[in-house]
Amino acid sequence: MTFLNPTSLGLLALSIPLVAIYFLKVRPRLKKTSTFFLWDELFEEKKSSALFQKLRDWFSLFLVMLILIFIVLALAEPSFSVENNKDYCIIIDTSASMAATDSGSSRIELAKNKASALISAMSFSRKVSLLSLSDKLSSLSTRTSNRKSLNEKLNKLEASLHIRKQSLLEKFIENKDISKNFRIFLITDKGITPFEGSDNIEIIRVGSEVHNIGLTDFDIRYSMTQKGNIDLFFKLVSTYKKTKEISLTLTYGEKDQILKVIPCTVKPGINKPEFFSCTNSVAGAYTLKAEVEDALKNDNNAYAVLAEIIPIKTKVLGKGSFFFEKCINAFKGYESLMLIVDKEADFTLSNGVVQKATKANLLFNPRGKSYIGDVQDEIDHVGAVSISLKEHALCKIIDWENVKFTGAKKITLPKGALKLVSSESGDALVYLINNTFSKTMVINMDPERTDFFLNPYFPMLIYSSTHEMLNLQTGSPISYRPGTIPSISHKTEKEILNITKEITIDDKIIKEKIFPFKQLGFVTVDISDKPETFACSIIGQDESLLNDNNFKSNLKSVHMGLSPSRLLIYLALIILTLECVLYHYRKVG
Amino acid sequence: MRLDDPKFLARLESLYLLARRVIGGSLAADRRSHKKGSGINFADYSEYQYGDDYRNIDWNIYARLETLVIKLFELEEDVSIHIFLDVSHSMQKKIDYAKQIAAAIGYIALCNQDKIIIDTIDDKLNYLIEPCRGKGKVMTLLKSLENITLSGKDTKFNEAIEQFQRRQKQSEVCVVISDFLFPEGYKQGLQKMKYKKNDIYCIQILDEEEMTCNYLGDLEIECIETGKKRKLTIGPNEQLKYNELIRRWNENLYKECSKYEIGYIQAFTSKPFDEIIRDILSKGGLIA
Repeated sequence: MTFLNPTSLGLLALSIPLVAIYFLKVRPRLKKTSTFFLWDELFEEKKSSALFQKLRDWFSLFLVMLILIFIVLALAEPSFSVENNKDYCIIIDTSASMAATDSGSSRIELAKNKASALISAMSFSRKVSLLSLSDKLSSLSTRTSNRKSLNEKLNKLEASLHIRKQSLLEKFIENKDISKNFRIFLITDKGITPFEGSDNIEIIRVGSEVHNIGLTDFDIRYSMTQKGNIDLFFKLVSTYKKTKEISLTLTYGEKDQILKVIPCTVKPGINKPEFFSCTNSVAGAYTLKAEVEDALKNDNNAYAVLAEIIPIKTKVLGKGSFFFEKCINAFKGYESLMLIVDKEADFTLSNGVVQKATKANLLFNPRGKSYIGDVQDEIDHVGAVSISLKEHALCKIIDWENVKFTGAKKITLPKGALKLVSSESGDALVYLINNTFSKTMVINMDPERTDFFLNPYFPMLIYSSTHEMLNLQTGSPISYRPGTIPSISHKTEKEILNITKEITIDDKIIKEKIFPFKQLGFVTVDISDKPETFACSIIGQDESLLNDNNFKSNLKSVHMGLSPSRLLIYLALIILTLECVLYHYRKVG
Repeated sequence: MRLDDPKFLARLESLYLLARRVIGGSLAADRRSHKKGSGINFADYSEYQYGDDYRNIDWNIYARLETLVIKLFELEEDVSIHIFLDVSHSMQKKIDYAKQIAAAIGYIALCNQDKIIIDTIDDKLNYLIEPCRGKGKVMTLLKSLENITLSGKDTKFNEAIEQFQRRQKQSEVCVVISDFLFPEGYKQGLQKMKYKKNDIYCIQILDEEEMTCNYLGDLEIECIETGKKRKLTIGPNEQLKYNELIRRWNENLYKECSKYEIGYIQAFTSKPFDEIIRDILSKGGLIA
């Protein structure tokens, strides 16, 4: 046992004046009486308790000394664990898995209890910094020794819907001052992957082995093979030790119209993805529900929104139209499909013909002088191709170095053109022209001469360039994670964050911000007269796998619960109460 | 207040005047006695017995009834008033009051031409004033009382009365002024006093503080006479028990007095002494 504040032991010297004061205090009042012989009768009656009467003063002194010793020891802050005097930094995992029911309580409650026990056991001089970790590392309280404030913060803490990001912890530990000045505790239900400095984090495990089945992946798309159908993809994980038969229900819309009941055999651990088809191709909100009673409810449902199909109106010009049409028709039946039109096209696909630019244009084999530049003579030798902008989406998808640029011409590029691929001599082979109302991609080659129509990169180029230029390259996610902000066309992030909905609380209508997503399920927002629905699901494998069998706790010796100092203070208070009773008895009988 | 203080004397004088009204005369040996003897006032007839003074034969009766009867007269005797004053340490708070009462009784008696004797009681019997008579002895009486100091180690009432009994020749009016808080009791002493056919009056002087226990908690109780000490924790129960004990003690004294036809007066020091004397006068017997 060590004392964190040994100088306080000097206060034991107070025992000398205390004993002196005590004997002065306990001396009974002298009462002279002429009826002593009457009192004698009372003495006789009280003879049975005479021993207690005689020892009472000594017993009382013993209690007073005990109170003094306990208080002095409490001030000296005894510690039974070998620990330095660093302050505590308690990080509580508030990720989605902490909402799991465990041992009749939730894991977050268990974590709060652990944190509270740590705080209670702290010596008086120690301070605590409280943080929560999920998709963000948030400070709940700055370094303080105010237990009341810390406990208040703890009480308010709840499990979030987010996944835990270990990278935040790694970044936090990078700060050398943190590990130097703090003893860091992470209260979590999952272990951490070792990283540099992870030894400085002492992990306190909460939760025991529980049973859970969770949907960790869910996607729903229009079927590419069978028109009018939707294809369904999902993945399940299970912490059950045995295979379990469950059924999944796919419902549609707000009224939860049941579309399909999928019987499913869930094996322990991570299950293989499952694919299903469903005869329904209506855009809207879909919910996949795992019908199971388990520890974590939030991962039993997955939500998705299937967007409406808006075909890309495409105009085809020049030689090779046959190949262009064949390629466009290949995407038919799938979302964001392309549709060949003659007028009001959004996208123009041409070979050797330069026309008035539409919103997006893909031009092969340019000729003459136009907005795409001044096309001159054919280049004799293209040589080794160099890619100027490797990060560009089109450069990532297509291996330009293996594409032949036969028929490439020298072109004087217009101002502001972005060169993606160039020849050995620096001539532009692939470039982009961004105007206010249109985007044009120029591929400087003759596709017929190079048989590019037969190249596997050809349909990829058509599809990718269309989506890239029309800003459709990412598509709308079918489901968002809690805490994320959806992308809404023609809206900036700031505008999206300011979107509100009216809610009624205690008969008062309050405008509440919708984004970032705060709850699971669907949310419908009126954007420019058109309601748009978004889905929000957990979808996190680590959060659903509640039993971390590889969890290794590296917790060093630490006192939890009632600190020795507090225990001594409580004992001193109990003894003080006893002494008060005795004192009261001495004074008023 | 000193006993020879003029104001005190004035109070005594007023008490005497009151006594005179009650008694109705100021001659020597004014005290009426139940005993029959050679007084002036006719008391009763009695059948003539051999040896009776034939001067007392009522010849008128003999003439009518032919029976010899003699006339009896009230005996006008010379009464001694013997005051026993408790001067033990238990009287510490009450001695001045006791002295005032003794002075008042003594004053009235002397003015009434009665013989007065005052003895003090502590652990033995002590003469304070030897038998004296007449108003001229008032100052001697008062000064003697004034000079009394508390003495003795314990009150031995029974022994003191035994001492008195040994030297007593004739019956007297005995007045015991004490708190009657005698550890060994008072019964034996009172019985012995009564045995000599004395008229006895007990004036119990009490201090109200002694009558009830008003203190709580740890006390070291010291006997005011013996100096003996004991520690005791007094709670509400102990208070009640003590109050009951003292009440019972006084009640027993009253019962004993009633039993032996002894006059009993309880006097609290909070009450003016002259009120006590007035009570005594109004009840009669002792000095009236």
